[in-house]
This record gives sequence, structure tokens and C-alpha cells, in this order.
Amino acid sequence: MTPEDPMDSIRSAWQTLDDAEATPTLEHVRRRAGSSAARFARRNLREYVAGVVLMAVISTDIVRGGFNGLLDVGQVLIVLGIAYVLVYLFRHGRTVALPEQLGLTDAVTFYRAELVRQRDLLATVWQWYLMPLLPGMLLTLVGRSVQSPALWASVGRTMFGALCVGGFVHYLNRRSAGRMQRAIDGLDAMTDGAIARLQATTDAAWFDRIAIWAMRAVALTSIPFTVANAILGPHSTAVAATPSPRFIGAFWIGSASVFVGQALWWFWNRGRDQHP
Amino acid sequence: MTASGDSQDALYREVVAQYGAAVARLARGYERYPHLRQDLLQEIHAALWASLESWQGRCSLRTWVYRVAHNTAVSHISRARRGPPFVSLDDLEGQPATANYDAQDAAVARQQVLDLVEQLAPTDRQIILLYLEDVDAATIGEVVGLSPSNVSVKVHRIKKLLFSRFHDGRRHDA
Repeated sequence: MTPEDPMDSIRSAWQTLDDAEATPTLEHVRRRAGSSAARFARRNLREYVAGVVLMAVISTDIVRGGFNGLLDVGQVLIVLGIAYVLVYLFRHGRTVALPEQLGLTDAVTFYRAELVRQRDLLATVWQWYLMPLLPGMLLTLVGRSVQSPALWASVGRTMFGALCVGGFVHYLNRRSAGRMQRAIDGLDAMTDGAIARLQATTDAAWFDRIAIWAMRAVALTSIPFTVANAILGPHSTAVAATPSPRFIGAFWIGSASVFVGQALWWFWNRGRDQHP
Repeated sequence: MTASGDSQDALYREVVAQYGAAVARLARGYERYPHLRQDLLQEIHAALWASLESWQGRCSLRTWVYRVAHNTAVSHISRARRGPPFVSLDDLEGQPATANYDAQDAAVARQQVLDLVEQLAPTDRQIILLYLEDVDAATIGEVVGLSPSNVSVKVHRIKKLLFSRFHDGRRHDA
């Protein structure tokens, strides 16, 4: 490269870039390093405390109010749903890399892991954030309507509105997840898939798989029961403030069937489909 | 202050002396807005200081510093993604040059490089930023995680892209 080569000029121009950004003092750097971890811990703590308080309030309401049929079943499912969301966030929601990882991990591997984490959170948000709460919310709505038949119309509107909003959010999340997948594919093409093979997880954890099957089973069974009762409204004899053993039996047989169906489907497709 | 804390501080001072200016330029390549850039720079320095305790000569100090800095910056832009989507070198190579610039004018050259860098997806951006700092292909490969031959191809394409934007202008002005 000759001294007059434009590349030399461009590089020396770049290396004289001075935006007057002050290098932080050592004292400031130490404080900042400590506060980053503390800030992250405080944010997590706030989420966990909010979840636990909500669970405690709902549980107290259930215990004090005596058995209210479907309403209580719904509220118990909401408490379980919140617990699952908190556990999931604890296990998967980490966003701060350890300082050591930053130095040991090359930039492509680090970026790919970040994209995969964000893609999975986005693509499965309905699975870990909406679905755990859905069965409880549906049954709570039905339970309230059974107690006050005049509420059926507003329950229908609420359900329709929630479905529309949920569907739109789901569409946006899937679109963002698709964009991240294309970026991941680009990185894999650059590295001939070497990082993908290294980072591939063999399977979801058993805890996640069984919890997702169970929630999906209850959610899928709740929907037809709720819709049928919303249509039939106060004329329905299938649901009562205190549900009949027949109703409860049908509900749990339906849920168990969906659960077993998913397990069989997973065993059948094992090796081909890694999602729970 | 413990002995390991003292050596961590001493190592950090060495890093600032050797790579402080390059890290500041790197932050400029990731964040356009001054107040956010200052925040990113502090985040990078905090990550560097915290990470140096684990360095223990596992790779060259230069590779370690650039990895920590780029990985921290990538986390920053992933969290605070604004503006149009990133583009790849392929996309830019397909675009006709809209204007020609004189590479001898340092201010114009810097601005053009920044305009280009800000559009690029992280991996291409990392390679161009390291190339502009005179880092050799083998070290770029270690920092970025690509083979030296892959890096050489990318650097060649980046040079060609930069060259086309400036060289044509010089020839045009002559």
C-alpha cells in the first residue's frame, strides 16, 4: 500500500477521531461495575416480589371466601400460572453476561447466543407468559358470569378483545423472531454451522416440557368449555356456581387426553422436533 | 484493597493507556447519540475492569479487550435497537455510490466511514472497526470468531467498498 493510498488516509482519519468522550475514572468504573450487577438484581427482585404479592392476595381471597366453584378453580390456576412465569423468568430471562464470558467468547458466538435467546423469548412468549395465565383467566371469567348472569355479554366482549390483542402481539413477536432467525442463519452461513452445532441444546428441560404440556392441555380444554358456556349463557346447565362432578370429570378427562396426546406426539416426532 | 485487586487496577490502567482511544472510537461506531455513547463507554470500561480479574493470560490482552468491548457494545445495541434494520456487506455492494468523497479530507472521511459503519450488521461492523484500528486478520479472526481466510475475504470486500466511495471522488476531482 503506498502512502497515497486512500485506505491509509481513511484509516489515519479514523484513528484521529476524537469525540471528547471522557475516559471514566477508576473509581467511577469500580462503582459502575458494582451497580450494574446490583441494578439487575434489584429489577429481578421487583418482578419476583410483585409476583409473590399477587399470588398471596389471590390465595388469601380464595381461603377467606370459601369455595366458589369455578371462580376458585380459575384463581388457583392463575396462582399456578404466575408461579410458572416467575420460575421461567428466573431460568431463562438472564440478560447480563458475566464479565469472564465477555472476554472468553468470540463476537460471533456471543451475538448468536444473544439472538437465539431473544428469538426464543419472543417466539414462545405466548407459551411462557400468556398460556400459563389463560386457563385461570378463562375459568375466572366463567365463574364470575355464573354468579352474575348479567355479565355474560361483557365476558364475551372481553374475551374477543383479549383474543384480538393477543393475536396481534403474537403476530408482531413472530415477525421479530423471524428477523432474528434470518440473522442467525447469516451467522451460521459464515461459520459453516460450527457454532450452531456447538450451541445446540439436545432437548428442553423435563420441567419445561411437562409444564408446557400441562398448561396447553388445560388451556385448550378451557377454551371450548368457556366458549360453549358463553354461547349458552345463563341457560346452560353444564356449568353451575358449584360445578357438578360430571362437569369437573369431563373437564379433567379432556385435559388429560390433550396432555397424553402431546406426549405421544412428542415421542413420535422425537429427534425431528426439539420443541416441547 | 487486596493484591489481586491491585493487579486488576494496574492491568486496567495499562488497558486504558494502550486501548482507551480505540475503545472510545469503537463506542462511536456503535452509538451515534453522545449521551448514550458516554453511557456505553462507561459500560465497556466497567466490563473491562471486571473481566480483567479472569484474564490470566488466556489469550492476548488485545484480543481480550476487543472481545469484551465488542460483546458489551453488541448487548447495548441489542437492548436499544433504534432506526432502520442493519444491512450486510452484500446489500451495500449492490448499491450504487450516491456521492464521491475526498479521502484526504479527514473530517469528511471519518463521517463517511461512520455513516457506513452505523448501517452494518454487528459482525461486519466489528470487522471494519478492527480493520480501521490496524488490527491484523489473525487477531480479527480471534476476536470475531471467523477463520483468518474468511476475515481476509471480508476485509478485502470492505476495502473495496470504502475504496469505491473515496477513490472515485479523488479521480473525479483530479
